[in-house]
Amino acid sequence: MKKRKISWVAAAVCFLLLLFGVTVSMLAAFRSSVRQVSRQEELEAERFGSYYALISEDDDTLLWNSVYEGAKAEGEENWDACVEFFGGRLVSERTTGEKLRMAIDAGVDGIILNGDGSPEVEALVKEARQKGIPVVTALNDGAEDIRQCFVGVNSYNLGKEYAERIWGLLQEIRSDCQIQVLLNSGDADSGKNTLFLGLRDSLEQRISQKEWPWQVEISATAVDGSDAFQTEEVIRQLMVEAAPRPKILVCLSEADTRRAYQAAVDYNRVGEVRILGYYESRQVLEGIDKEIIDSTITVDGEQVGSLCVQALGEYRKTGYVNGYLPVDTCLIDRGNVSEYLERYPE
Amino acid sequence: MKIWESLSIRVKLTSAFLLTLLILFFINLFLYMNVNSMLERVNEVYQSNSRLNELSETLEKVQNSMTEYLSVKSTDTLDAYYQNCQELNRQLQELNEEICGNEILMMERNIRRMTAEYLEVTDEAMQAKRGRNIERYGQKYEEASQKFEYINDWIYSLNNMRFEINTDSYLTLVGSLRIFERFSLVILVLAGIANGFLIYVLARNITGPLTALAGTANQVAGGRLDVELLQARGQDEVAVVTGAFNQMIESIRLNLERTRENMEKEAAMKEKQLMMESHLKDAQLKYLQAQINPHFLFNTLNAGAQLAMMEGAEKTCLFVENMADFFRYNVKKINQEATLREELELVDSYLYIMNVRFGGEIHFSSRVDEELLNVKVPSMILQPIVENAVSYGIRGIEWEGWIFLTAGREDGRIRVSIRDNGAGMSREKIREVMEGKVQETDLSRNSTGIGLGNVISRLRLYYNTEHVLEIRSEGENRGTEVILYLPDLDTGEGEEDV
Repeated sequence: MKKRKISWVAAAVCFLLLLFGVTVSMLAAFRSSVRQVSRQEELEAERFGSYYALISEDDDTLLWNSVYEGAKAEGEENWDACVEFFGGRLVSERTTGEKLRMAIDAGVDGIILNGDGSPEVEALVKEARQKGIPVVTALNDGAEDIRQCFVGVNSYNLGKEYAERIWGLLQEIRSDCQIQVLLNSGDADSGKNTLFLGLRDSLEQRISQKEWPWQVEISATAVDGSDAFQTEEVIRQLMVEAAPRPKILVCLSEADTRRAYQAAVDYNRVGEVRILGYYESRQVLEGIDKEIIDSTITVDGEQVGSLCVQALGEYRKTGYVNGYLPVDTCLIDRGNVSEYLERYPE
Repeated sequence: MKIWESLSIRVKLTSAFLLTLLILFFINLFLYMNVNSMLERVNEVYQSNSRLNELSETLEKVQNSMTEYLSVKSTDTLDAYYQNCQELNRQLQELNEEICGNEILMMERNIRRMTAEYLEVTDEAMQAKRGRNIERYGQKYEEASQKFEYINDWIYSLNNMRFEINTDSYLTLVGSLRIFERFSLVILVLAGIANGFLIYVLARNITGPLTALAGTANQVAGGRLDVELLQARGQDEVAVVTGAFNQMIESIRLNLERTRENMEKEAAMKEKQLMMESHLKDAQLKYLQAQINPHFLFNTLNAGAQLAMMEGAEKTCLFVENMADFFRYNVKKINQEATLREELELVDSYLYIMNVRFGGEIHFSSRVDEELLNVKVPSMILQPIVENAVSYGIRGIEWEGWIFLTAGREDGRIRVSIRDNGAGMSREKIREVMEGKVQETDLSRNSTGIGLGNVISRLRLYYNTEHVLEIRSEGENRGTEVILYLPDLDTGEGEEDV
């Protein structure tokens, strides 16, 4: 009787524990489900001491995303700063000038700008400086006299790097050669022009030095960078209709490189047109791997972002910063493409 | 546990029901509160959107009232402008101000700052309008309009983001509601089972002792008093009843024991009583035998003396002989039993004496089975009957008096009949004699002193049976017959009656 009683009590206790367990587990599941809904995430967001706006019209490109990642990481880790693609979530498309205006109105602590050299931007940079907001230009310079610092590649040197590679190609072609460089006409900044200048100077110097027997013609085609359709049309024209057709095509943006790659495949110009690209993406790297694109010159976007934040931090801290911070460039060709491909999983 | 056992059944039952009721109540309360909280959350889901819409509306009002003032410059529009600005500022306070890693909060901050900047510009435009600086207020108006457009763009974008997130939240909440629905069902089912189980356990706890008691009571009802006594736990009614039941069983056992002892005592007493009765009978017998009237002896002796005087010595001698026999018998047998032969001899002696006394008026005839002569009977039983027949039957009759005595076996008994042809007896008289209602105080000087009642009593005591004597008479002057039915002790007949 006693044993039986104890077993009844044990059963009752077990049942109660089971009930309690089910209740607690279900409640936990329920709470976690509701927590997703609550604004807890917003309330628990990390607080920062300063706020930097990253402004670029190409904010959806891999290069600029890479710049943003580098800037964000550097800001959070070393400068107690929050970096944002300013106006990146706006529904309507806004120009660099408009975004700059908004950033000044929003009272940001610093601006990282993809400069375009336009007078409107220059005026706004001036206004920002008047309001005590430091401006650092990245990759493309502009308002050279006003901005605090430029972080990027020396365009002239980059041109020389392209010239080096083209010279290598000329050694392979060993015939008359038409070289086309795609420039964005919308770019008021002189960076691309300087690059073109550097490329041409360097190549001509080589040709004259080596007494190159074949005729080499270098020309630049201006395309409106803001109009993707037009660029695609220009490339098609160069690939199909141009006479003589360029044997070497130099693209100065990652998007143009992709377009050229696609056009070479579409119009069966693989091997006929050597494409030199700019910056890297999985598609570009695959093009190099398949020998459709000859090579690409890339910059370390994260390094750019990181240097921009460092420049802003330094300036805010000391009131002084170097006017130019150089960024490393790197040539990717068949020899080392596999290393880069590993970074881009399919 | 001890407290529980000390409670009464009413309290226990009430507690059991209250407990289960409370469990269900709290579970329902818990579910209700959670449903309530969920509904509140659902209500809040789109609250942020609504807030942003309000902000957008107020911003538009500010813009409109500014435009209105710049074009009309009325006091009403100025008031409206300031009111709207105040409202806008109030709404701006609700937006985030801090720099943080959350995109939405940063958008709020930007809107807040940009709106503050916008308000500065609108103020400047208003001031310029009041100062009639047309160029400036036109320029500020343009600037404000542009900022107004930018801010609206930001609010619209933030609203969109919020809407996306809120829609996700809404879907999550709907999902949660579904989970919660199942959860509630599981909880309710489990609580129901738990309650049922709890009630079962408690009911079992409460009624268990009652069932055990009922079982034991049934056993007791079936006659098994040797059942093991139940242990009364706690202090509730069942425990009280169990205690009382145990006490009852104990009492019954004790009573039975006492009854058994009493019965034993009674049996012993009855035995003793029987012995006493036996002694009493003996005593009574002896007493009755002692009731013989000594006057008779003397009267008879006087008669003998008279006869001797009148007729000479021979007859006197015979008479005195008979006298002597009679007297001897009386003295000798008064305390003993006698044979039938001796009794008959005594009757003969008596009748001889009586015939001497009353001049030979009494005729006597006897017919007795020889085998019966040695049968043992109480002494002095025939003579009193014969004496009755003489005294109340044939004395004084006009005709010749006869007494007939017969003895023989009948139905295993000895039948002795003493019949006379005398005065006879009425039925009432016979009944009175048989019931012993006749007082035998009228002892005449001619009697031996032993009446018929005495004989009946002695026979009943001796043979321990009621039916020993019967008196028959067909009526007045038609004689009387007294029949003795004596159990034949020698053959063992009638021993059952002893």
